[in-house]
Amino acid sequence: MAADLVMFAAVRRDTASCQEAYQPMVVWTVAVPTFLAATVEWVEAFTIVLAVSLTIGWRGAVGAAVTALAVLAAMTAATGGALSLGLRLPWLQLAIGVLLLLFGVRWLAKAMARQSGLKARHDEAEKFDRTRVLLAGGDWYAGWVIAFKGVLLEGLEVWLIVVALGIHGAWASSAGAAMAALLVVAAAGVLIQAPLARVPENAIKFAVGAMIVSFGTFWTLEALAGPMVWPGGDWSLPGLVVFYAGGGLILAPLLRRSVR
Amino acid sequence: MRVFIEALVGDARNVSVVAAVLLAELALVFTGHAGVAVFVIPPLTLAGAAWLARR
Repeated sequence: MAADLVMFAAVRRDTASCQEAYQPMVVWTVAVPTFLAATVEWVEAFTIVLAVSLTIGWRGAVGAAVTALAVLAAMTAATGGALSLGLRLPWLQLAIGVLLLLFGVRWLAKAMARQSGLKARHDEAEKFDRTRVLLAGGDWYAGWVIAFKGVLLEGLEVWLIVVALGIHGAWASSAGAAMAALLVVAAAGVLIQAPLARVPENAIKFAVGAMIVSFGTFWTLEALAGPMVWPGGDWSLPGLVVFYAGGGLILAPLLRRSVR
Repeated sequence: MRVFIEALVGDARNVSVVAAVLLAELALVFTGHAGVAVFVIPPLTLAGAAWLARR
């Protein structure tokens, strides 16, 4: 994985300097965090769609979900194309780095809060019940809107990570991983026909949060100070991932004590 | 619209933490301390995440 991180950074630079640079079929440092992050978000979206389907039927709920997914796909195509054009590499790196920091810091903080017990762990069964209560007495249209909005809002974070990690020529890996996660969650949901409560959401949030914050830190500083700023160059990335994941795990119990 | 924006960038506290990190990066880089920034920014970012986790 460490070598993959470094290779992705190198591919990113090669892509900037030479459009015909060699790229592997799957960039695992893009595919793995995208797949994990998308799995968490699609599980939450599935819970909403499942709850809505019990009120307005499968056809309406799936129709709303597919419409939201189509909007997300259009957003991905539009923003990806727009970001690829006209922006010089340091500015692109800075913009993407800031987006990754906004996303990653939030996930890392949530994971630390849940690990320390300061925040309740995410409960899909409870979310399912809440959505059912929200739907009580509502009509078909209200149910459709809840499913559409739920999938769209959960999918926004997937869109963000697909665009941010795919922008450096790894579109197939980022979009493919998000699609793979969608298929896995949908297949599991159809088989189980209940909220997918056993997905280790907090462990995934910790791992993805650490990886995304690492990319954000690495790219923002490199964009501002130049490619020579990190000691060891791209090998700093695995070090950053270990620092954020390890630091978060060490700080979590201290946070609980500091609040008492 | 607010829900949409919060889903993308998080709440005001999250944006403040990232803004503080970026300001620190800018200050260190443009005062000629880029070499120091690589050791200061990661702990600062982790401290920001810990602060957010307590809220």
